[in-house]
Order: sequence, then structure tokens, then C-alpha cells
Amino acid sequence: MKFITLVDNLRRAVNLAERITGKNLTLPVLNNILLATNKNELHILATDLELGIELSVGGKIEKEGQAVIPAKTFAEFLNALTEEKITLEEEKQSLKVQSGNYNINFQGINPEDFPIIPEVKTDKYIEIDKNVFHEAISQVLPSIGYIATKPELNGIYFHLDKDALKLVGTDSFRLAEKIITSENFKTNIKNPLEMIVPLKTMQEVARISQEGPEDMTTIIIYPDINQVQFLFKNNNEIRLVSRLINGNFPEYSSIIPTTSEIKISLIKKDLAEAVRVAGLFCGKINDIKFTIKANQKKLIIEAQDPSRGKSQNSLPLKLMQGGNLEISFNYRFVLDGLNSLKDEEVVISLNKESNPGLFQGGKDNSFVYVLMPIKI
Amino acid sequence: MNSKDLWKAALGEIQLNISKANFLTWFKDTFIIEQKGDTVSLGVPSNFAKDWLNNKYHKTILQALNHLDPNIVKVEYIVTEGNSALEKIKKARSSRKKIKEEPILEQQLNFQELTIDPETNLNPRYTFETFIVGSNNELAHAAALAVTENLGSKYNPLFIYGGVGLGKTHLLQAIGNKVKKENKKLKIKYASSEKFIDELVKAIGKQNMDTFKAAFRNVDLLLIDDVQFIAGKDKTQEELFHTFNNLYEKNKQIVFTSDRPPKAIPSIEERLRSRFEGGMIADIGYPDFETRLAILQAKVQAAHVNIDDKILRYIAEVIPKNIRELEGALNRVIARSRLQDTPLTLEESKKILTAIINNMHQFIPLKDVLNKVASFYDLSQEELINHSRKKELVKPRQVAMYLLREELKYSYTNIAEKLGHRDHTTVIHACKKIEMEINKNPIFNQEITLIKEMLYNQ
Repeated sequence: MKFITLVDNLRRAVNLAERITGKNLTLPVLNNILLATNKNELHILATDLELGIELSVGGKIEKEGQAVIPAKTFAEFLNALTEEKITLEEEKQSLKVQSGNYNINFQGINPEDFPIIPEVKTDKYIEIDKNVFHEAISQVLPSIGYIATKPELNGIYFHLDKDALKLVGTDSFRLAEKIITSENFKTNIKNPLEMIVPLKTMQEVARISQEGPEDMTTIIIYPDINQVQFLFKNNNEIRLVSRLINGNFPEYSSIIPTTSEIKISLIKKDLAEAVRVAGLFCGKINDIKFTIKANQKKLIIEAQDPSRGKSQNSLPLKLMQGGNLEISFNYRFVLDGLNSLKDEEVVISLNKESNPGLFQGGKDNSFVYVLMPIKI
Repeated sequence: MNSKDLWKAALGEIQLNISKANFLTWFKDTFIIEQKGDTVSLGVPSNFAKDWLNNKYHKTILQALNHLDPNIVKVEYIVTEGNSALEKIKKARSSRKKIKEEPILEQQLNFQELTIDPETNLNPRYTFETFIVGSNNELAHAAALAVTENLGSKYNPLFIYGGVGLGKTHLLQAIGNKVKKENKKLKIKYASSEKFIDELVKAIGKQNMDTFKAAFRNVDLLLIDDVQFIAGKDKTQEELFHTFNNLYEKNKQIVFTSDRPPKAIPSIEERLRSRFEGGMIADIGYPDFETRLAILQAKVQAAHVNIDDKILRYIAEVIPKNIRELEGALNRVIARSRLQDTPLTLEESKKILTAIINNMHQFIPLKDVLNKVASFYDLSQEELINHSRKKELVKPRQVAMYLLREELKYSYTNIAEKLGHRDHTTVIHACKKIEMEINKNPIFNQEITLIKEMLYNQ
């Protein structure tokens, strides 16, 4: 194999691939990436056996072939490089790299040992604008954690029907639901569809949307049995294949409160700032207290810690329905919710101090965030 | 040779031909699904494994199988459900991490809907391991354990009764969780009687009684919580009666809980009452001091905090009746101790708890007593006060007098005045009579305790 390309293009692709490589596994080959020529491109493949990625980089091929080399070292080398062009040449399972005055030799392994990234053979697809999809998943991702006993919660739940694509995530303390209405995507899937895509896969999809080439404006999702493929499209492609999580996502709709005794609204930016400041003084369990004073139309935010002191802030409310209430939340969870809301105004619906709070945008009703309080 | 042994033997051969790392990665969690004629279907954990085995090791696998059974000439690979090796590693790792985070998670409330098993309705939090046994609940605990070991055959039905916040639901759910853990195939259903009523009403409304019947009759273990609430609901009682008979005939286990013994549940049909009494009846009483202290110590340990034993003794002393209140008081102390750096002193905790304790000696208005007594005996308040001498009115009236005297410390004349301008000697007679009855008749004693509980736990 002999291949010449621009360092910038190669660096971007290798960095994205390197993140997928497996760590702490019995199979050392997973710490490597596969470089293979294919027509006029170089294909870069990496996998941790749950998730596989295939990226292509344009360049000039002088000789066909392939090589498997350690991902981390190669990525770090490319990140240090300031040259413009780079030549890769495979020789007896090692990769000779020439760029500027550098002459490097990466010790590789037999390409035969590199795992095969499964092909997804389905014509069912959902085609969606990259930015729309990226915004949606970044709204849902912060609500997902890792719960060992509940694998079905460790991913984003997709639910497609004729009206909308719903994305849901929860770590059992909070839940985020995003609704993408059908005018925002194209699909040939007629029947309702549901699947749970692992957290790591969705994080990578978000990262590629952000860090991948800007001219990739469309994502095509191919749901298959046991697996799903995300295809980022332009001249070059990025293909991401992931297993799906087996299991049934819980009937979550009963979690989203439909009635509320108390409803308040205020400027999101102000609330986020007050919560952030209170967070500096929160107790060991990240608790801050919301006190709603109905007659003063005010929300008071307090936090206290024996070694750091205490803070108090009161914010005027635009809307005030219902009576007084004292309720405590984890300030990080509140911030996650506020950051996910894409609206200037936040509407919070509450019931009792041990019932969940519902956070919504003032105008945008495509996203809801439900948060359980802390019991003091 | 069955397929399990066949695959084991084949793996033994395959192992010799490939490296250990490759073997562990690709052959872990594989098994033979079925062998049909000349074809073996191999279950593999992921698409990665499927492609890899098919492309790289197909020959090795086929050779190994063919060697053991010359009929086999084809191998297929099928991705099956189940967790991959990586997930298991992650699981093991994170379960270690989780223990540390526990105390934080306990205060951060979570969505109950997600903790509760959707199929059985059980909350995995309630287990026998966390149930603290004392002299007050020994019998109920032993009976519950016996039920899990002899499902449907030893005590059927088991009827557990006891006051508010003493652990009935805990015990009931523990039975379900233990049975579930030991045999995943058994069908278990837990429902509060409220839920039972709810589903029945829904089924009637939607006219699909068959689904309702299937849901409650197609189980190996039925757990009904707070069964006293079916009092006065005829259709529910009828349906429960039939459900009961259906399960009982099939030797399926049924467990009920209630806040009072079957005899004391008002307005239920006699045939249902006799069914409740047909198996084993066990009560849960108030925990004694030692048990209360043991509960507190267990809670403190689970919360990973340091609370002086003196404080725990104090809490156990001042809150004698309700375990839920006991935990509430402890939670306050724990919350406070997290807020400060120095260990909490006894004096400080007394101060924190004054609010709770004062609340317990709450003032109960006269009309509450009348109200509770009337509703307990299913009467109206007027009936309680009027001058009728019907037997079913006289006793409740005397109970009301007794409670006003004992709990509210009203004078005899005052009570006589308030309950329909009677003579004060009538009241003295009533109190004496009730007192005697309490000493003589344990079931009546239970009734009085229950009414008292209703008064204080509102």
C-alpha cells in the first residue's frame, strides 16, 4: 500500500476512529485501526465489537493494500504534526510514514486479524438533517447515565410513528423527551418502530456531527435487526454501525406529569445563573432548595454547606399559578435540564415536594425534562 | 450426545487451533440453538461475532463439528439476545462503583415507575434481607418464609394484618421478590386492592373481563395488599371471591394483607371472610424497643453515616409506634448530620426532633373521634349520637365515649353533654364496659387499637 494525502483530512478521520477503539479487552487487535485502500480513497476502520466506524479520506493511491497499526500512537503523532502532506507506505506489516522531515515506522499487525465491521443490509431508512438531529440528541444525552441493573436505560430510546420521531433518555432520576415532527425527516418506514441505541454510539454520533466535515449535512439512519447504521453523507462517507440494546424500554409516558398544582415561568438565563451560583454552596448531595412565594411572585434559590457558607437569590416570576412550595433538587440535574431547553423562557410545573418537576420551554413544546427532587 | 455436550467437545477442539485471546473473544457466549438434519444453528452474541466466525473460523468450526458428528455438513450463525461479554465486564465494574454512591442515591428520589417490575408490580427494594425480625413480627415473618418455600401448599391463603407503617407491604413484597428470584418462570402478581378495583372497573368499562380474569387468574402467586379497602364494594368482592376460588383450586398461593383481622373488616361478605380465615392468619404488632433500635441501626449502616448510639436510643424511645415515623425522624437526623462537620450531639438531635415529637402528641378534636368511630363502624355521626338503643349503635357509641375519656381526657359530664345530652353515669358505665371487653376479647382490643391508629395517623 502506498497512499498520499493531506494531514488535516487524515488527522480528523483518525481522531474520530481512535475514540472507538476498544480498551481493556483481551483482544489487543482492537487497540488498532485498519487502513485500507478502496478505489480512490483510504478507508479507516475501528471497532470495540459493539460499535464500528468506517471513514474515508481522499488522496492519491500509488499502490493498493492495507495495514493495521496502533490507533493511539498514530493519532497522537498526527496531532503533533504541522506538515501539510503525508505519505503512508505499508511494508511487511509495518507502516512507513513520511511527512516533512519525519521518517516514522509504525509497527503493525496482521490485517487478517482485524475484525469485520458488519454490513447493514436494509432499505428501511430515516433521513434527517444533521443539525436537527444533533440538537435533538444533545438535548436528550445528558439525562442518560449508566445503570448496571437496567441495561434498557443505557441508551436513547427511538420511537417512530407516522407523526413523529421521539427520542427519550432517562437515568431514573430524570427523563428527557424530544419530539421531532414528521416534516423534519424523510422515511420509508410505515409501521411504528422502536429501538434502543447505546449511549456510547449516540455520543459518537453527536461528536461526528460536531467534529466531522461540515459539508456532511445529512444523516441517514438504517435500523436493522439487532443493529443500526448511521451514515453521514457527502462526497466521502462516515459509516457507524452499532449493536442495539436488547430489552423493552419502560412505558415512560406515565412519568411525565400531566397535571400541576403550581406553575411558574421565568427567564431561563437568570435561573441558570442563580442555580450555578447556588451550586457553589450546595451540600454533599448537590442539593439546592427552591422556595416559591406565591404572594410575592418570587422564586428563592438557596444552598448551604457547613464548610463553604450559604447563598440566597430571589428571582421574579413572569407567571405564578398555585401556592407556596419548598422543594430541593440536585443543581447539576437542574442545569442539565436548563441547558437542554432551547427557549428564552422556562416553565416549571410542580406538585408536592416529593413529586417530579416538569421543565418546558415557554414557546417550544418539542422538549420536556422531568426531574425528581431530593428528599431532605 | 446432546447439543450442549456436542458444542463443548467442539470448543475443546477449536481451542487447540486458535490463540487464547481470539478464542475468548469470539467463542464466549456461543451455543448450539438447534441441530436439524445436516445443519447446526449456532447462537452468537453480536453481528460482529457472526461475521467474524463466518469469515475466519467457519472451516475450523465445521471441521470440529463434522469430526464429532459426520452428519453435520452445514453451520449457520444467528445473533441471539443476551448481553455481550463487554457488557458483563462493564456490569461487574460499575456494580463495584455503585456501592460507594448509595447514600447519595437514597436521598435523590427516582422514578418509581422505573424501579417497579412492570410485570409483577414488585419493588425490588423490599426483601427478606432488609426485614428486621423482632418479637412483634416473628410469626408473620416465619409464615411468609414458609410460604416462599412451600408455595401453595402450606399456608394458603396467608393473611397478614397489622397497623400502619409496621411492614406489611414490605413482607408481602419480600415474598414476591424471593419467589421471583428463586424461580424466574413463576408468574407473580402484586396489586393493592385499590389497583384490583381500578383494573376491574376499567375491564367492566371496556368490556374485556377476559383480560382481567387472565391477568389475575393466570398466576402462581397472587399478592393483594390492603385488602380491607374492598369493604362495601360488592362487585369487587365477588370478583375477588371467584379469583380466589380459581387459584385455590389450582393450588396457587395467595397472600393478603390488611390493617385488621378478617373478623374486623366491616361490610364484607361472609363467604369471603371465611376464605380469608381459611389458611394462616398472622399479625404484626408494634415493635419493642430492641427491634426499633435494630431497625435504626440497620438504616444508619445502609446510609453510611455515623450517628451516636445514644441518639438512636433516644429516637427509638420517643417514637414507639410507627416504623415509618421512626425512619422519618432518623432521616431528619441524618440530613442534619450531613450538613455539619462535627458529629451530632444528643442535645442537638433532641432539638431537631422536637417538631416531630410534639406533632405526635397532637390535639385531636372531638369531631374527629366521632367521625372516625362512625366511619369505622360504617354509621353516620347522627346515628352515633342519637338515642336509639339498637345493639349495632350502642357499642360504637360506647367506644366513642371510651376514646373521648381515655385519649382526649374529657370529663364524664362533658362527654355526656356532647354525645346527645345523656346522663354522666351512662358514660361511666360505657367506659367500664369497654375496658372489660378489651381485657376479655383480643379481637375487640385489636379494633380499638385500629381506631386509635386511624385517629393518630391522619
